[in-house]
Amino acid sequence: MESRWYRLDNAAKIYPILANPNRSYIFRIAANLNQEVNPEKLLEAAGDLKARFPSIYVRLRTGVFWYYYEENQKLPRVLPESPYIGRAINLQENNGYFFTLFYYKNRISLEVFHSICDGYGAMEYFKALLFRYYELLGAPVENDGYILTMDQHPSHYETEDSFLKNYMPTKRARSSAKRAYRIHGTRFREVNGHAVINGKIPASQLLALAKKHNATLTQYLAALLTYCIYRAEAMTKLSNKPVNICVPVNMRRFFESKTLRNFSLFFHTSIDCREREWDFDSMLASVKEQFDRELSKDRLHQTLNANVSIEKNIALRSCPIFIKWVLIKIGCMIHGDKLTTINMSNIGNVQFPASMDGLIHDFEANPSVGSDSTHNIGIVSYNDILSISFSRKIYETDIERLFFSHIAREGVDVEIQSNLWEDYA
Amino acid sequence: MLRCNSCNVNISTKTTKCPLCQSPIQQNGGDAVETYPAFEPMVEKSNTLFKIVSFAAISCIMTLVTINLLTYSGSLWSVIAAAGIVYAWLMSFLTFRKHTHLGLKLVSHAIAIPLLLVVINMFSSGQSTTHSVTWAASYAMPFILIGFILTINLIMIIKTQYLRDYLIYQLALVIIGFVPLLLVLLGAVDPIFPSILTVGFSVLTMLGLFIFTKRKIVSEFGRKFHM
Repeated sequence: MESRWYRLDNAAKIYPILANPNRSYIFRIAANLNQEVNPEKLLEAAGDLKARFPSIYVRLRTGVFWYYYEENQKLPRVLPESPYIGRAINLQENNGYFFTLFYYKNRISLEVFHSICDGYGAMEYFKALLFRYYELLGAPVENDGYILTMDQHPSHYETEDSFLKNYMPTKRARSSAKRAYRIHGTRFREVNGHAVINGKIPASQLLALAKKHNATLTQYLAALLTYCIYRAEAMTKLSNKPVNICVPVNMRRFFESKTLRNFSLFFHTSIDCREREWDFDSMLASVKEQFDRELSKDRLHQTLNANVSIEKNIALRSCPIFIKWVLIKIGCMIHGDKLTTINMSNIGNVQFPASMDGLIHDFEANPSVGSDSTHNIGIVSYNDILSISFSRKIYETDIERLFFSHIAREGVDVEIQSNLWEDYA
Repeated sequence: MLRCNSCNVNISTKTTKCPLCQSPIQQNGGDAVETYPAFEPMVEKSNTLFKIVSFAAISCIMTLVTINLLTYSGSLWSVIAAAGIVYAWLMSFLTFRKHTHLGLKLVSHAIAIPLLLVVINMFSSGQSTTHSVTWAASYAMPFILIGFILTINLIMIIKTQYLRDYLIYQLALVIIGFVPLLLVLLGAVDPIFPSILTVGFSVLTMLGLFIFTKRKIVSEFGRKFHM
């Protein structure tokens, strides 16, 4: 039987070239269950889903012009959780897979390389995995349409490149964001992995708080984050560059797509601290206004067109992969992550069938942090618990302190968890 | 659960100070537990052996070349020694690298061994003209190439499930199998029958690949060369 293969999608193409131990492009989603994890059943569940998620169970192969993904014959790895969250995957040790499943006490976590899927795709897979895991444990779970199950046949639409599908060679526009301010701090000596501070907050309380300010949750948090950076950092340094929050957008919201591969873009909210004295309310007003302007189908479509047009460029396409390697590395050195101060990914609310109530306590999401930034934030909610996770590469915890104590001062209950890297790494 | 009164937050990780502000914390009923695996410093892989061997190899070569030049009497014997050392150095690290594909290892050896032999042949016993490249090019290279092509053929027949992984390597090797033909045309080998044998064997292997694995080859090329 012929094994399947996939071209890398538009977003996926650059990650294998840019990834290194310092910049892993790994993100993690984790579920805290209400009972201890059974690793054997977890491995069995992971094996069972292989045929259902063909675009995730792949290994990377090198072609003459591009990398490509090919069906992976081996089994994925299920390992005890490592202290190094978001560490770059060692493909040889990981059976060639770009994802690893970890367990620790009650927690199952999935660490994925961004090249094979985005947050949406990873969450769909993770939900299917948890569902299958409970099926294998004999729990009386029943699918009511929220879950992709192993008895379904994978659809062509789930493995398509939606960037390419929605590409129009006409209107294109790049992000107008300016080079962003970088948070200062003492970097950990350990380059692998990152520190985590995870705040668990009752989702309804925080939503009410955002609503009180006439804002959505993401707008409120983006504004608060900017405000905390503004307060934590020295004015003299802040006066050079704007604070840019990078907000990834699930493009499936705007375009018809069922793909489980990458289909997200991002935009920046930018607050220039040179302009004036800011307070939180004026910052929130500005952030809201920027959300309204940037978060539109038209704007995102123009960015999509601009991104795909690079890949379509015949001169670039005909370069052998090692030349692309050099070009993309140079391109990243010049442009790179320089437009972003902090990345804030909101995965949203996780939906499970009613039959799974009481099995899972909450979820966590942790993006990894690249070598030229200091923090990233992952947000996910389930079961009225909103988890806001800060991943960071520096010892200082001031931004987290200001952020969570601000929320707590507003009368919202905050529960903090940390992997305490400031004491060790 | 623990509580930090200055940050106004509860803390469920077992710790002695607040993870946010680092100030002392209060007990607030209930248990705090370890929420993440304890930090362990990572053991860095050392490549000391590689460094020592590389340094030793370079210093050996430099010493030998110096002695050769200072006592020169018509023979560049140090080139043979240097080629041998470079071969042993390169090939031992490639061969013992756990994660390099066996196909790639075989192809590298199939190129490196004949090259080493040709160098030995060229610089041995004072003969240093290209026309004296007799035994290495005429006998050693053809038979070594046949040996390697045969090995990969056998692997592909025995381990059919990995056939696709070896296809590209075998194609590369079969193309290298035409080098003896080039040497025949240049008049650099004598006798020519081992070289002709190698070319014949390469042609047969190529034919076999196309007849038995045509679909796989076409699809493999589609993958490898997609733009």
